[in-house]
Order: sequence, then structure tokens, then C-alpha cells
Amino acid sequence: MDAVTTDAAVLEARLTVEPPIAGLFDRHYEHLYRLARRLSPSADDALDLVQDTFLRATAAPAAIPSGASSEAAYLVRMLVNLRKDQWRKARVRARHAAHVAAAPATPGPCDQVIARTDVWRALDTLAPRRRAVVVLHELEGLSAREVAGLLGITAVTVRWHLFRARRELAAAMRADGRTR
Amino acid sequence: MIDLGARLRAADPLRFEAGPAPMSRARVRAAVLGAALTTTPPSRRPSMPPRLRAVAFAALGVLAIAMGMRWRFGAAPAYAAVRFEVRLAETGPGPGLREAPVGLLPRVVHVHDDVVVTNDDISDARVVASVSQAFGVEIRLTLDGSARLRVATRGHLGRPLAVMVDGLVVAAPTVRSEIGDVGLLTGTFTLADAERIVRGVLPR
Repeated sequence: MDAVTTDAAVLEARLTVEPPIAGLFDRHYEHLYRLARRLSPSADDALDLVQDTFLRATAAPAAIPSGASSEAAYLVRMLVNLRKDQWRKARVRARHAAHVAAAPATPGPCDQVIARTDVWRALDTLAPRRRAVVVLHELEGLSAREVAGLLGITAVTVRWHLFRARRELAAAMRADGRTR
Repeated sequence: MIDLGARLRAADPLRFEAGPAPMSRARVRAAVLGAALTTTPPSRRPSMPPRLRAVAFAALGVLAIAMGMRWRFGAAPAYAAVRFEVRLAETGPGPGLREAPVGLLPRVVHVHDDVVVTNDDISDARVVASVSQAFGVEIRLTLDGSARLRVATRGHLGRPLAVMVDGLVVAAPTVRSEIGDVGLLTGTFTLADAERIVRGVLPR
């Protein structure tokens, strides 16, 4: 065994052997969390949704397109699709047990504040893709064309979703007002 | 018609919440990176048209039968081999040099084609505990490998060395004096990562 002591300079760098997914995570975590939180009933659900999105991307790294905007669109679509799956399952469960509310099982103080706002409760009635269109357009401030690019649909479909969402939200809020 | 935007902004949960705690982010990040490290990297070969693929499979099958090959399944190793290399590098570009980023640092080096040390020159590798729950990998070279590294670094003072794992430059220290051993790769390895490297770098 060679006994030469390694030059301290050899150790100068902070070594990181991280898979390329680390860069993807760091580039997109923040905006994916923002979207996930606005699509999910609670902060914990949003974190789970973001984690599931990255895990799914990790399972097929070759499918991740190159370029920041393409990556973002790919991940956003994946996140919305995962949310759609959750939403569908929750609806099936709710159909079988009408007493099970769509709200989180153990809402925190913030969730309670949000649950009190009729518009957010109405938003829960929208299908995830329609909700994503509303969130991206109204809260993220993206144009119909930008939302279309991100979700892989046409701008006409985005405008249709917005039109229908406004009607559905108004109806849900009216119904909510009558039942309170 | 309701002013949807204004009402949504007023009720936006992100207005009421501080956002996910750094610990939550770290937990999610660790789970994702952990999954990535246990996932076998996919082949980067370009996809083949379905018809051509069918022909290729058929040809392969005929060839296999003709040669009396025995197909064996389920013999994949538990850990993929980790390619370890030490090469000389330069700070600036030059003929025959390949530019490579250094880990996740905003820095690049220009790596020579010639490999000074490979997995075959490793005599021993082990995981060592580092600071704050991070782990290092201690790599010892054979006499032959260490002599080669010493000769190479003797004429490379003041210029960088590229320590590469799986084709990626993970460190590019400047050679201050003759180096005869790679020694300890300290850093931010997770235990699983450090173990994977140790199991993978030793020659089989």
C-alpha cells in the first residue's frame, strides 16, 4: 500500500455524486409545489403530489425532454395527471361513502381558513385539469397560449375550460350559499 | 359574472401559508434522489422503427439458435459497477480536450483523453464517516497505479486533476504537489451512495 499522504488540495472540492434528477428537482421544485398546493386540499397532499411527480419522472429519465421550458411542461402535465388519478379515486371513494368529505382528514389551521372561503371550496368541485387551467391563468398570470403550451392542449381548449370553470364555480358557490 | 381572479387571489392558500419547511423539501429531495440512485440508467440508444426492430429481433433469434446460445435470465448484479477514473485536466480549452462540468459547481475543466488511473488500479475502497451525517469514500491505489499517478502529477503542478465517477467529473483539485494516492473522497455522499461507489469501484 502506498503511504503517500494525499495533498490537501485533492480534497478542496465538495464532492457530490448526484444523479441528473437532482438538477431537475432544484430547477422545478418551487413552481411545482406552488401549482400542487393550489390543486391539492392540503399542504401535505401538495408535498406528496410533488414527490410522486418527481418519482415518476425518475422512473423514466430518458423520457424527460431537454430544455427548462420543456422540462417544466413535462412535469406540470405529469403532476396534473397524477392529481387527476387522486381526484378520480377520491370521487369513487366518496360515492361509496357519502359521509367522507373531500376535505383532508386532519386539516391544519391554514386549511381551515381556506376551507371557509367559498371560492376555494367551489374550486374543489372542478376536475383537476380545469382547475389547473384556472390556477395557471388566474393565479400564475399565464396567458391562454402559455397555459396551452404547458398543459399540451390548444388555446381554444384553455378558453373553453375557463368559460366552463367560471360557470361551474358560480353555480357551486350559489349552491354552497344555499346550504349554509 | 364573478370576478374569479380577485376572489381566487384573496383565497389563495399560498397567501396564508409559509410554504413547505426546508426539512420537508430536503425529505422529498432525498426520497427522489434515493429512487434515482436505485434506478438502472436506461439505454441511450436511439429508438428503432418497429418494423426494423422486429427484423432485428428475428435475426437475433436465428443467430442465437444457430450458435446454440443458452439464454440466462435474472443474473443481473445487485449493484451496477461504478466506473472510476483519474485523468489530467486543464483550466482552459485545447486540442484533444473535452470540456466537463465539475459536479454541480459552476465550474468546468477540460479533460485529457488519456486515463491515468482506472478501477483496475484500486487496491481497496471503503466507506468512512464524514461530517454532519455525510459519508466519504476512501480509495487506495495499487503500487502500480500510485506510481503512475505520481509520475503524471509530477509534471502537472498548478493544473487540475479530474476525478471521475461514472464518466462525470466529481472533483477537479489543483495539483499542488506530486500525488501518489487518491485517498479520501470526502463530500456529501449519502451512506447508500458511498456504499454503491465502494461496491462498484473495486475491480471484479
